[in-house]
Amino acid sequence: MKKIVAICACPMGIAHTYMAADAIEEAANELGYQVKVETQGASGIEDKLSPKDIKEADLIMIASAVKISQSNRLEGYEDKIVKVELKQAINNSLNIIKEHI
Amino acid sequence: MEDKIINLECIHLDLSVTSKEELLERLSKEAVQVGAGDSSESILEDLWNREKELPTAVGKGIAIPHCRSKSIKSSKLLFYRLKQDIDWDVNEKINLVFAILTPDSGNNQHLVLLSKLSRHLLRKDFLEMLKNSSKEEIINKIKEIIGE
Repeated sequence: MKKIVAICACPMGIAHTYMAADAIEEAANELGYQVKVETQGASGIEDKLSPKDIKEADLIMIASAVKISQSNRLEGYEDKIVKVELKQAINNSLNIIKEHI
Repeated sequence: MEDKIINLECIHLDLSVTSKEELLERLSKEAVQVGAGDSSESILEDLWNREKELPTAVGKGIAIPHCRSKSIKSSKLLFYRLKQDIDWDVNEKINLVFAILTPDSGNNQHLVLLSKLSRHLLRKDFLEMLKNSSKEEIINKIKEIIGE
Protein backbone atom coordinates (compact mmCIF):
# COMPACT_ATOMS: atom_id res chain seq x y z
CA MET A 1 0.00 0.00 0.00
CA LYS A 2 1.28 3.42 -0.89
CA LYS A 3 2.36 5.60 1.98
CA ILE A 4 2.10 9.36 2.19
CA VAL A 5 3.70 11.48 4.85
CA ALA A 6 3.47 15.21 5.29
CA ILE A 7 4.63 18.09 7.44
CA CYS A 8 2.39 21.12 7.93
CA ALA A 9 3.51 24.41 9.44
CA CYS A 10 2.11 27.92 9.39
CA PRO A 11 3.12 31.22 11.06
CA MET A 12 0.79 31.16 14.03
CA GLY A 13 0.23 27.46 14.17
CA ILE A 14 -3.40 27.51 15.20
CA ALA A 15 -5.44 27.19 12.06
CA HIS A 16 -3.88 26.62 8.65
CA THR A 17 -1.56 23.93 9.96
CA TYR A 18 -4.38 21.76 11.19
CA MET A 19 -6.73 22.43 8.31
CA ALA A 20 -4.02 21.36 5.90
CA ALA A 21 -3.27 18.27 7.97
CA ASP A 22 -6.90 17.26 7.99
CA ALA A 23 -7.24 17.82 4.26
CA ILE A 24 -4.18 15.74 3.47
CA GLU A 25 -5.34 12.91 5.70
CA GLU A 26 -8.80 12.90 4.17
CA ALA A 27 -7.43 12.89 0.65
CA ALA A 28 -5.05 10.03 1.38
CA ASN A 29 -7.79 8.02 3.05
CA GLU A 30 -10.06 8.58 0.10
CA LEU A 31 -7.38 7.23 -2.22
CA GLY A 32 -6.79 4.26 0.04
CA TYR A 33 -3.25 5.20 0.98
CA GLN A 34 -1.57 5.05 4.36
CA VAL A 35 -0.93 8.49 5.75
CA LYS A 36 0.90 10.22 8.58
CA VAL A 37 0.96 13.96 9.00
CA GLU A 38 3.28 15.84 11.32
CA THR A 39 2.01 19.21 12.48
CA GLN A 40 4.33 21.95 13.61
CA GLY A 41 1.81 24.16 15.35
CA ALA A 42 1.67 26.47 18.30
CA SER A 43 1.86 23.54 20.72
CA GLY A 44 5.03 22.27 19.11
CA ILE A 45 5.67 19.22 16.95
CA GLU A 46 2.91 16.61 17.05
CA ASP A 47 2.82 13.21 15.32
CA LYS A 48 6.47 13.56 14.48
CA LEU A 49 7.66 11.68 11.44
CA SER A 50 10.27 9.09 12.31
CA PRO A 51 13.25 8.34 10.05
CA LYS A 52 11.42 5.11 9.16
CA ASP A 53 8.27 7.01 8.17
CA ILE A 54 10.31 9.24 5.88
CA LYS A 55 12.30 6.38 4.39
CA GLU A 56 9.24 4.25 3.64
CA ALA A 57 7.09 7.03 2.23
CA ASP A 58 6.20 7.11 -1.43
CA LEU A 59 5.47 10.79 -1.22
CA ILE A 60 6.48 13.51 1.23
CA MET A 61 4.27 16.60 1.17
CA ILE A 62 5.52 19.76 2.76
CA ALA A 63 2.72 22.26 3.26
CA SER A 64 4.18 25.28 4.94
CA ALA A 65 4.52 29.03 4.97
CA VAL A 66 7.47 29.01 7.35
CA LYS A 67 10.73 27.15 7.64
CA ILE A 68 10.22 23.56 8.72
CA SER A 69 11.77 22.46 12.00
CA GLN A 70 14.33 19.70 11.82
CA SER A 71 14.33 19.68 8.04
CA ASN A 72 17.63 17.82 7.99
CA ARG A 73 15.56 14.66 8.37
CA LEU A 74 14.52 15.08 4.77
CA GLU A 75 18.01 15.19 3.34
CA GLY A 76 18.53 12.58 0.67
CA TYR A 77 14.82 12.20 -0.08
CA GLU A 78 14.40 15.26 -2.26
CA ASP A 79 13.05 13.21 -5.15
CA LYS A 80 9.98 12.27 -3.12
CA ILE A 81 9.29 15.73 -1.76
CA VAL A 82 6.52 17.98 -3.00
CA LYS A 83 6.27 21.48 -1.58
CA VAL A 84 2.89 23.16 -1.63
CA GLU A 85 1.28 26.26 -0.21
CA LEU A 86 -0.97 25.64 2.76
CA LYS A 87 -3.97 26.81 0.82
CA GLN A 88 -3.25 24.32 -1.96
CA ALA A 89 -2.99 21.52 0.58
CA ILE A 90 -6.25 22.63 2.13
CA ASN A 91 -8.13 22.73 -1.15
CA ASN A 92 -6.39 20.43 -3.56
CA SER A 93 -4.67 17.60 -1.70
CA LEU A 94 -6.48 14.91 -3.66
CA ASN A 95 -5.14 16.11 -7.00
CA ILE A 96 -1.71 16.92 -5.65
CA ILE A 97 -1.33 13.40 -4.31
CA LYS A 98 -2.65 11.81 -7.51
CA GLU A 99 -0.26 13.87 -9.60
CA HIS A 100 2.85 13.03 -7.67
CA ILE A 101 2.51 9.55 -6.33
CA MET B 1 -11.99 31.12 36.77
CA GLU B 2 -11.77 30.05 33.15
CA ASP B 3 -13.75 32.00 30.60
CA LYS B 4 -15.61 30.01 28.01
CA ILE B 5 -13.98 30.17 24.60
CA ILE B 6 -17.26 30.60 22.85
CA ASN B 7 -20.79 31.44 23.81
CA LEU B 8 -23.93 32.68 22.10
CA GLU B 9 -22.82 36.30 22.00
CA CYS B 10 -19.83 35.29 19.89
CA ILE B 11 -22.02 34.10 17.05
CA HIS B 12 -23.60 36.46 14.54
CA LEU B 13 -25.86 35.22 11.80
CA ASP B 14 -27.11 37.10 8.72
CA LEU B 15 -24.71 39.94 9.29
CA SER B 16 -24.72 42.72 6.76
CA VAL B 17 -21.28 44.14 6.06
CA THR B 18 -19.90 45.30 2.75
CA SER B 19 -16.16 44.92 3.14
CA LYS B 20 -13.34 43.08 4.84
CA GLU B 21 -12.32 46.32 6.55
CA GLU B 22 -15.79 46.73 8.01
CA LEU B 23 -15.86 43.16 9.21
CA LEU B 24 -12.46 43.23 10.88
CA GLU B 25 -13.24 46.49 12.58
CA ARG B 26 -16.45 45.06 13.92
CA LEU B 27 -14.66 41.89 14.93
CA SER B 28 -12.06 43.79 16.94
CA LYS B 29 -14.72 45.77 18.79
CA GLU B 30 -16.78 42.70 19.56
CA ALA B 31 -13.68 40.87 20.69
CA VAL B 32 -13.37 43.44 23.46
CA GLN B 33 -17.06 43.12 24.29
CA VAL B 34 -16.81 39.37 24.77
CA GLY B 35 -13.71 39.73 26.91
CA ALA B 36 -10.92 38.70 24.55
CA GLY B 37 -8.88 41.81 25.28
CA ASP B 38 -8.94 45.45 26.28
CA SER B 39 -8.00 47.38 23.19
CA SER B 40 -9.90 46.98 19.96
CA GLU B 41 -7.24 49.06 18.17
CA SER B 42 -4.47 46.65 19.16
CA ILE B 43 -6.54 43.65 18.23
CA LEU B 44 -7.41 45.18 14.87
CA GLU B 45 -3.75 45.93 14.21
CA ASP B 46 -2.73 42.38 15.07
CA LEU B 47 -5.44 40.96 12.83
CA TRP B 48 -4.28 43.08 9.90
CA ASN B 49 -0.66 42.11 10.49
CA ARG B 50 -1.72 38.51 10.29
CA GLU B 51 -3.65 39.12 7.07
CA LYS B 52 -0.52 40.54 5.48
CA GLU B 53 1.54 37.50 6.42
CA LEU B 54 -0.62 34.80 4.94
CA PRO B 55 -4.06 35.00 3.31
CA THR B 56 -6.81 33.81 5.58
CA ALA B 57 -9.39 32.94 2.95
CA VAL B 58 -9.07 29.18 2.74
CA GLY B 59 -11.52 28.35 -0.02
CA LYS B 60 -15.18 27.27 0.13
CA GLY B 61 -16.27 30.78 1.04
CA ILE B 62 -14.73 30.79 4.46
CA ALA B 63 -12.11 33.05 6.02
CA ILE B 64 -10.24 32.46 9.25
CA PRO B 65 -8.78 35.73 10.52
CA HIS B 66 -6.84 34.95 13.65
CA CYS B 67 -4.11 36.21 15.89
CA ARG B 68 -2.00 35.00 18.71
CA SER B 69 -0.78 38.11 20.43
CA LYS B 70 -0.27 40.18 23.53
CA SER B 71 -3.44 42.14 22.82
CA ILE B 72 -5.48 39.04 23.64
CA LYS B 73 -5.86 38.16 27.30
CA SER B 74 -8.47 35.39 27.01
CA SER B 75 -8.95 32.93 24.11
CA LYS B 76 -12.12 33.51 22.14
CA LEU B 77 -13.78 32.18 19.02
CA LEU B 78 -16.12 34.42 17.05
CA PHE B 79 -18.24 33.34 14.13
CA TYR B 80 -20.01 35.44 11.52
CA ARG B 81 -22.38 34.27 8.84
CA LEU B 82 -22.75 37.04 6.28
CA LYS B 83 -25.89 38.03 4.42
CA GLN B 84 -23.93 38.62 1.25
CA ASP B 85 -20.52 37.69 -0.10
CA ILE B 86 -17.69 40.12 0.44
CA ASP B 87 -14.26 40.30 -1.14
CA TRP B 88 -11.56 39.03 1.16
CA ASP B 89 -8.25 38.24 -0.47
CA VAL B 90 -7.59 38.80 -4.16
CA ASN B 91 -10.27 36.95 -6.14
CA GLU B 92 -11.70 35.37 -3.02
CA LYS B 93 -15.28 35.93 -1.99
CA ILE B 94 -16.39 34.77 1.40
CA ASN B 95 -19.56 34.61 3.46
CA LEU B 96 -18.42 32.75 6.57
CA VAL B 97 -15.87 34.15 8.99
CA PHE B 98 -14.35 32.19 11.83
CA ALA B 99 -12.07 34.22 14.04
CA ILE B 100 -9.67 32.58 16.46
CA LEU B 101 -8.04 34.85 19.04
CA THR B 102 -5.49 33.53 21.50
CA PRO B 103 -2.97 35.05 23.90
CA ASP B 104 0.73 34.99 23.20
CA SER B 105 1.55 33.11 26.38
CA GLY B 106 1.63 29.34 26.90
CA ASN B 107 -1.89 28.21 27.69
CA ASN B 108 -1.51 24.95 25.85
CA GLN B 109 -4.93 23.78 26.84
CA HIS B 110 -6.69 26.22 24.56
CA LEU B 111 -4.30 25.62 21.73
CA VAL B 112 -5.14 21.93 21.81
CA LEU B 113 -8.87 22.74 21.71
CA LEU B 114 -8.40 25.13 18.85
CA SER B 115 -6.32 22.73 16.84
CA LYS B 116 -9.14 20.20 17.21
CA LEU B 117 -11.58 22.74 15.88
CA SER B 118 -9.35 23.76 12.99
CA ARG B 119 -9.20 20.18 11.83
CA HIS B 120 -12.98 20.17 11.45
CA LEU B 121 -13.35 23.55 9.93
CA LEU B 122 -13.41 22.56 6.30
CA ARG B 123 -15.23 19.28 6.58
CA LYS B 124 -18.37 19.18 4.47
CA ASP B 125 -20.80 18.40 7.26
CA PHE B 126 -19.34 21.06 9.53
CA LEU B 127 -19.55 23.72 6.84
CA GLU B 128 -23.14 22.71 6.05
CA MET B 129 -23.94 23.11 9.70
CA LEU B 130 -22.30 26.54 9.87
CA LYS B 131 -24.26 27.66 6.84
CA ASN B 132 -27.65 26.45 7.94
CA SER B 133 -27.99 25.96 11.67
CA SER B 134 -29.19 28.13 14.48
CA LYS B 135 -26.88 29.76 17.02
CA GLU B 136 -27.61 27.11 19.62
CA GLU B 137 -26.91 24.26 17.23
CA ILE B 138 -23.65 25.85 16.19
CA ILE B 139 -22.49 26.38 19.75
CA ASN B 140 -23.39 22.85 20.71
CA LYS B 141 -21.52 21.37 17.79
CA ILE B 142 -18.43 23.43 18.48
CA LYS B 143 -18.48 22.57 22.15
CA GLU B 144 -18.83 18.92 21.22
CA ILE B 145 -15.75 19.13 19.02
CA ILE B 146 -13.58 20.92 21.51
CA GLY B 147 -14.92 18.88 24.37
CA GLU B 148 -15.90 21.83 26.48
